[in-house]
Amino acid sequence: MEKKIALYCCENSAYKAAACLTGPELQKGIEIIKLPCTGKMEINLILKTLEQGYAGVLVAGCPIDNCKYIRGSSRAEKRIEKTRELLKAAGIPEQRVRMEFLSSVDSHKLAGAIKEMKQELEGVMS
Amino acid sequence: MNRESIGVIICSCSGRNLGKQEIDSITQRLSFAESGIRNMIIETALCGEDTLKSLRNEVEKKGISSLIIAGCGAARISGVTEKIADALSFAPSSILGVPLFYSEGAESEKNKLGINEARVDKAVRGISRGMNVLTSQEPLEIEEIPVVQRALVIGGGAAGIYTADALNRFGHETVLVEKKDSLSDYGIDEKKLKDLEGVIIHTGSSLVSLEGSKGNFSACVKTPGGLEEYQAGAVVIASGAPVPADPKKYLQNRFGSSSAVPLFSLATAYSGLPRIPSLRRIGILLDLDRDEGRASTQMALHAAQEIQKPNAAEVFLFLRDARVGSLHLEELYDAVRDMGVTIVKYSGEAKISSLETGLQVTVQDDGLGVLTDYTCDLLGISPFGCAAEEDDPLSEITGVHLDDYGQFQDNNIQLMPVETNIPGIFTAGGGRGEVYSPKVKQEALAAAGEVHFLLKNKTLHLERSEAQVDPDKCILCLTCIRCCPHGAMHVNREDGVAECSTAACQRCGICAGECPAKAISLPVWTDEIVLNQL
Repeated sequence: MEKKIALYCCENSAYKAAACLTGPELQKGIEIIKLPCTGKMEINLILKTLEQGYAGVLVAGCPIDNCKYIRGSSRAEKRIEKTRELLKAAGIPEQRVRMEFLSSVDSHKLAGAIKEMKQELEGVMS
Repeated sequence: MNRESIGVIICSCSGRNLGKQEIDSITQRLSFAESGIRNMIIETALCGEDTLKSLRNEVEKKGISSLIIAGCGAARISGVTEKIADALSFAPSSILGVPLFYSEGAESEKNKLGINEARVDKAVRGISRGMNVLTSQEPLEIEEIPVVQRALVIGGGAAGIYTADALNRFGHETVLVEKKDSLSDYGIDEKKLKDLEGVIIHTGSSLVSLEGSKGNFSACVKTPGGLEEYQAGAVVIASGAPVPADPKKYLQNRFGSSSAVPLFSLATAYSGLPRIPSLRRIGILLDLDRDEGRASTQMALHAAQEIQKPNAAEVFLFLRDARVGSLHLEELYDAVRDMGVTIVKYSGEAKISSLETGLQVTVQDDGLGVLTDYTCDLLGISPFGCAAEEDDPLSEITGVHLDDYGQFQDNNIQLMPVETNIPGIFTAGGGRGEVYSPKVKQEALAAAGEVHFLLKNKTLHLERSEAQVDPDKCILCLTCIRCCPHGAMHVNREDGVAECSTAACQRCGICAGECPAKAISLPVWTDEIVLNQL
């Protein structure tokens, strides 16, 4: 079976955008997980997700300036960057973890990011 | 938690939800599965008032203490669960919304006979997951926090006076703290002061410290008679605009010329200039360090009008954008332009260099598209456009964020204009940047309204779902205290660990994500619950 992408969404923005993803090719191969804020996204959660056999982790939160909890997105961004560094150091392709900033109406951006990530993963995982 | 008391509501609303056969299939599969679901309610139009009434009866009859609500899309489900929680007086964590994504099932398809297995599968999985979450967590305690029936207003300018007045009329005990020695310095007349009867006014005073959280702040105010302690349920910051303390001196020092004067004293400075046969060139500059609003534009237009009127000077008005979004200002702008004032819209920064007599303003002219020099005998600069020399000390005392320009306002679309990053602290007037004068009263009323909304409840009933700190793991590194955007974390001095305030915590989980010792967890968002969704 094809490996899936875990899509961690902030419930205030990206989760709503994810609800509007249409088309079977987009919905196939992703698992949507709700978070109160991307600021809750911990490094160990990402690693555990990868450990469970997911091909990639895409964290999607509010735009930096418009985080409902003011600093959540900027905190998450730093953490995701750190996780990518950790993966790189361990010899795991860093493309497996990615962060996107979008508002609840930006489902097209999310769709684009998922497509792009799928392509990237195909390249590095094969 | 008792499994039998969990109810499941599936909305069969006529929007984008499931067809009848699909709902039948879901109920069948759920009752066959080892889900332990005993109470299944199928409802139409969950969001309707009538439905809520019948739902309340049914929930009471069956003795249901927690609910899973399956229906709506992700965008609406949280609103619906909130509404239902409110109507049934359920604690927020005992109601769980399971959105049913039906984007792959077009509306037309819904009415067709037959079952879309993928959709049914998704719904069953979502509901079972919800059951897992609800059964795995203990019911949380409800904490009753008494709300101190007093409001603290900091600043006795127009915004502060209006706020205190409104709060006084709402019947809340109000304390007003003002730096200056007299409120009449602001031109407040006797009549207005009489209206404020009942408000405790401290002039010549300032806030020294503020602790606590929404509903229960404790403030220390330094008054001429010594320190005064006050408990307050809410705080309104109505301090002045972040402008240089002495604009005249500031501008002189900055541009090395006495030809740069604050806009409000431009007319006086102009009348003091010796008359010469040729025309004087007078400049008015807005948007120097930051973009300004309608108040500055109004002031600039009035000054331009006054100087241009006798036709003894040539007036240039430099601005990045004419902010005339009101009927009266629009007319004034037209009148000023018709009088012959040259209005220069520039982009980027304005460079000001001092000449032997007067100043030279160099701007990128938007209309001509070229860099243009203008020499002015006198240049009036709006002080609201100048960056504050230092941050308002109130920011450090209260923990309210300042933006890049030193204004009490987070650059965040999620916050309403009078809200700050700290729950229970509101802001109005000049402190949040330059405010168009007719708007000050509106803003003050909005802040007073927010305070009234908070104080009208004598107690806050809050679920203990705030971030929990494990005292055995906490190393008191202060990371959570630094990163909490809502000022909810503080040090418990007795135990020597970090602690979270139930009232101030917004349950975002930033502290849990940052804690290097993994000592903090959110009860409704534990790692287990998050990973369960996979």
